[in-house]
Amino acid sequence: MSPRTDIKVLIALAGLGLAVSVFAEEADKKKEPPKLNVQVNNASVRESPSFLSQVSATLNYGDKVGVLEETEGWQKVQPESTSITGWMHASALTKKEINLQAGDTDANVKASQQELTAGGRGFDEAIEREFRKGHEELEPAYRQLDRLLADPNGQASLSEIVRFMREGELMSRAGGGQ
Amino acid sequence: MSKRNRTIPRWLVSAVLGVVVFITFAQPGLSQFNIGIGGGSDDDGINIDIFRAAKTVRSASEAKQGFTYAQEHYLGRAIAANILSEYKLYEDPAANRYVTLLGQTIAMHSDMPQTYGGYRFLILDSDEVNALAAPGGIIFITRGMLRACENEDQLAAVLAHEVSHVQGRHGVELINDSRWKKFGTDAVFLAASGFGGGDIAAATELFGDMVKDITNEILTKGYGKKLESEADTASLSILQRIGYEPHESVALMQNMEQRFERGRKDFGSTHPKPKDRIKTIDKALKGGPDAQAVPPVRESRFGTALSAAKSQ
Repeated sequence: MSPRTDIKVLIALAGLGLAVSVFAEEADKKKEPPKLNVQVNNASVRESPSFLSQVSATLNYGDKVGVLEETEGWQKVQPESTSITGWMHASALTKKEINLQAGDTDANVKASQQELTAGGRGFDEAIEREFRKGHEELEPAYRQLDRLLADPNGQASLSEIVRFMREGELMSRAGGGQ
Repeated sequence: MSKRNRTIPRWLVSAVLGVVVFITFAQPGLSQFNIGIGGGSDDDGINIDIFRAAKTVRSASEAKQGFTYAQEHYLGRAIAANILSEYKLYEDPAANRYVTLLGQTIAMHSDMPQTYGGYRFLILDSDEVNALAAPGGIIFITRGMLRACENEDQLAAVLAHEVSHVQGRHGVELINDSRWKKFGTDAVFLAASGFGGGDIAAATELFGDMVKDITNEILTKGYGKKLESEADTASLSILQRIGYEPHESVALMQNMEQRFERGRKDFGSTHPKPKDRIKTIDKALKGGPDAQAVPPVRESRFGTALSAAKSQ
């Protein structure tokens, strides 16, 4: 390599390096505030920051929301999937990326979810299926569990909880978890 | 090497080149990619250096942080299935509905009101004085424990203690560190290779190991002194938010101590000594309002709903 070629290569690479650096810096500046991901199933979006307030929307695992406002234990959010805004309990949200893969039941529900890349498979339904195949002795218990989890009597609606508290002379002092 | 007259020495070219490459790749987001299992050293997902991705070794704590609520949910299901295969369910509708309403009221006032799969409260037909929480929110209470509770506020204390284990993600803490190291490695391989059968087999084996770790611990040793005390303290806050009388927790501990049978696998053997737990509770309640009597209406509905369940 001649000295002249050395210089050309050097200048070209320096230019490239500089361009990439500037580009990356600009991209960083333009980055929006980070969105949060819903980390529970059927997450409630409420009209006000209290569990005693009405549910205005329900979000799926992996849905993204923008945060507009925060108060103790609650965040006012703008979900990507709807035009409404509302309050979600902070424990239902995470900064962590949540990726759904093709095997997930929810994966094909929404266009926004389809954009999520495959990967981060971890322990999902497929692994439970494999685990159950290898533990036939647990199968009756798994079936019993599925039956119990599907039973609506195992859940309580907001109005049932409010009635239970009122009848028991209980008073919510925090209006929900803090 | 031939001697030539250089205007720029070769070492300088290399050095500058090195700096250029460094600047280029040191930019955030360029040398790293997000594998999307969440967590990691920061809260924005696990960023793994592409040069290390093929044989990633992350610390146990990094891997643990990446464990999602969905993964915890499936782990909890397996642990619940283990518990259900060992104990018989008590399916009295009145008792179950009452325990569900009480349990869901407590869950709603906890620091984690919603979990991936939701909370469930189930009664086990066993004389052991015990209550168990599987990760993700499936909670069991034995008839023996129902008998140890004299009123609704004491039962609320038991369920609030179990909900506190769930909100604190204490189950995940019982998993052996060696599993986390493996989880980090396997998760990367899985993420990188998509749907390879071998990877699923490895992950399933690891899943089984984690289930074993947690099931063995909660059935034989409990969550350990530190996490049990943490749950006792956290449960008092939940009870106070709802309006339950927190001092009833002390009375409950005394009842449990009376009912403790040496050698039996239950709360007595898996939890710290009641007198130590009473100390923790007394300390937490010090300076607060004095104890109040439980209103008759709560005494009455407790008796009605659980009369059959509490009978021998």
